[in-house]
Amino acid sequence: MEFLSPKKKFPLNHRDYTLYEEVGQGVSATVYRALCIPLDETVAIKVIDLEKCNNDMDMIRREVQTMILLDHPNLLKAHCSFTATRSLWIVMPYMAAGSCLHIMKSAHPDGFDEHSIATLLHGVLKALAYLHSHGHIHRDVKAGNILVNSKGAVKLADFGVSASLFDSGNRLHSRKTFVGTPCWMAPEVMQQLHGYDFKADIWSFGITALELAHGHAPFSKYPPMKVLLMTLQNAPPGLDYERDKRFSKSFKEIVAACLVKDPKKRPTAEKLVKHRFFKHARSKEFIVRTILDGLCPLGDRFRMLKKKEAAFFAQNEDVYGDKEHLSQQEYIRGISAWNFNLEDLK
Amino acid sequence: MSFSFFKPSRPKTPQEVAKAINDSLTALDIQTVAEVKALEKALEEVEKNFGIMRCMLVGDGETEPNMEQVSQLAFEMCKEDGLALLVHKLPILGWEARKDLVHCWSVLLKQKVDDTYCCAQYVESHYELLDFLVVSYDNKEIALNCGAMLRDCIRFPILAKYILESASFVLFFKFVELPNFDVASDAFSTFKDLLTKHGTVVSEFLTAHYDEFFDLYEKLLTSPNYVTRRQSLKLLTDFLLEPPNSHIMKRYILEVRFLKVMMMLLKDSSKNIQIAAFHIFKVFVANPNKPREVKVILAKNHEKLTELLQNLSAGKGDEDDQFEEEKELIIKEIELVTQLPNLGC
Repeated sequence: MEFLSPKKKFPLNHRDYTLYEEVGQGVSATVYRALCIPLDETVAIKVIDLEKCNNDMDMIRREVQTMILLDHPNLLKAHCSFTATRSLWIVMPYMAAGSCLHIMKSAHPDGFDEHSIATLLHGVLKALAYLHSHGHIHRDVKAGNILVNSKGAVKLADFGVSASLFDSGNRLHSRKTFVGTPCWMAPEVMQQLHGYDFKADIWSFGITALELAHGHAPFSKYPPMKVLLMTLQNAPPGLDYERDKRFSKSFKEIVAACLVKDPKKRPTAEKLVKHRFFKHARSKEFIVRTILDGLCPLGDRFRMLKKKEAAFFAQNEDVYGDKEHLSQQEYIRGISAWNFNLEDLK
Repeated sequence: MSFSFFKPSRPKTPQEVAKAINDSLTALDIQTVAEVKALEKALEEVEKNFGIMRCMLVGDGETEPNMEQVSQLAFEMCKEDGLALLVHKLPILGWEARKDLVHCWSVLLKQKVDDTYCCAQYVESHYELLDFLVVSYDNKEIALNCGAMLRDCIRFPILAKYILESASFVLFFKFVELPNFDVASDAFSTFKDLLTKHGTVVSEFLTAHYDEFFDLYEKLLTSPNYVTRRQSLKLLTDFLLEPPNSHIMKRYILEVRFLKVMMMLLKDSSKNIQIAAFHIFKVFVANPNKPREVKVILAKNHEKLTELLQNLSAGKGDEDDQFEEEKELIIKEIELVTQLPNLGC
């Protein structure tokens, strides 16, 4: 019956919303749990401080448009967007369990079981197949961008850096810009040689699979520059820890298929969706029972993690030199506004 | 259940695809709103045909499109008024069909057939399509689709020229302030393309419509909406300070009322706006042939201006050095103007 009811109209005035606690933070944006007063519905609102965005607002416009125009059950959609003095408000569905990164940090520090991973990744892959068929590259696939709601539904979020391949030129041109978070970044993206395409997301997807299996991404304890070099020089990472023996052969297969350095040899998202690994996928209810059970409210978890982080940085103040300090902090948080100076690398 | 041999076969050649699209779009008229089921079916048919068109134009991710077929399809779509149908039926189509349409539109317009862009030419002889797309910014449901299609058209100077000079152009001054950020910012991006893509076209337009245009533009620059002020100021720098518009710029910097607007923006509470305003303000001051009125204003306000400028800093690296240098020059120039005799203030 929901199908027949008219589309809900979310108001375009900030006075119609009450902001509650913080549930997420980025470089120039904060995400709040909030109430849409006239509809009596809990939502998440991303508040972007436009004054902190130095350049023109094209990037932001694209992010918002992508969120409005894409329509898939596994993608986080925006209900609406409007400005309130100097900030931009993007109203979205509230994903009560938060991101997989947050869930792991607070309750599953060593990663999830295989059925949960298959269920989560299946959702992500369906979202990627949809994005790719519409000409978008996500460019920032990672556990921190996989959100789960209280009913166990999985949605891929954050199009802050997603690019449209169709925006300039008509066919599937490669992009030549450098965005993403280094641990999850495909070698061809780092090299910036030939531009890259959809296949960069498949690499990040493979890294995300490892992240969900281990509780952290490979190389995540190294500084960004080192990650860049290791990704380019070392053999691709895989499920080769001692305790990875618990995982099935098909899981190892899918990870290995994604983490091939030559992008041409990686499968498409559409093809991967049909991989036998996803026979391990379970229902939303399964996610609720196995990984969401007993989690405390998102706002509390977010506050705790923020505190932990602050303590960590206070302790390690002298470890990180002044120059690298800020970017190092952002890096560890998994924030993706990276500007590398590649000349330094060569 | 129907048997497969009763179904019409899937269109294969560009002619067949164009015909199938026209037929299925025309069929939408015959269905009345009351016949929900029939309409749904007709829409499904359109969607299916769009999928086939899209596949022919951009490939399916695995195979590359056949260029000969692409150019033939472009030709067929013009021949049978298919392009006009696409635009006019857009509002009643479903969500995914609209997106397919936008995607195909972009490929079709760029398609050359025998050295001419036949689809762009078609739009050129059916200008009402452009008006239709512009006005659609008022329809939230299709605004973003139409915006993308418009920007594809604006790549052609002749089409951009038509929109600039059409009656619907003034609507942009309203659209860029719509409450929906996604729609307003899309309208702004089209507005920006119109004013920056084709230097000569823009320069001719501004010359012919100087007063009307800058009257309206002043409203954007002084809008209570932060985003409007910031974006319109940045855009002003983008077109006013470009070489083909130098005569417009020379005219602009003689006018006291525009100087006043820039001085207001120099005092804005946003630093981004202050800095952008400085880059236009400096041209007023640096002008060797400042009219008397401009000098008077500068002299009258020189203390406040000097203080304001001294507190203003761009704040990063090389840009900062150049900014500081320019600032010093401008402060000096204001000082000089103030010491001029006979200003009568």
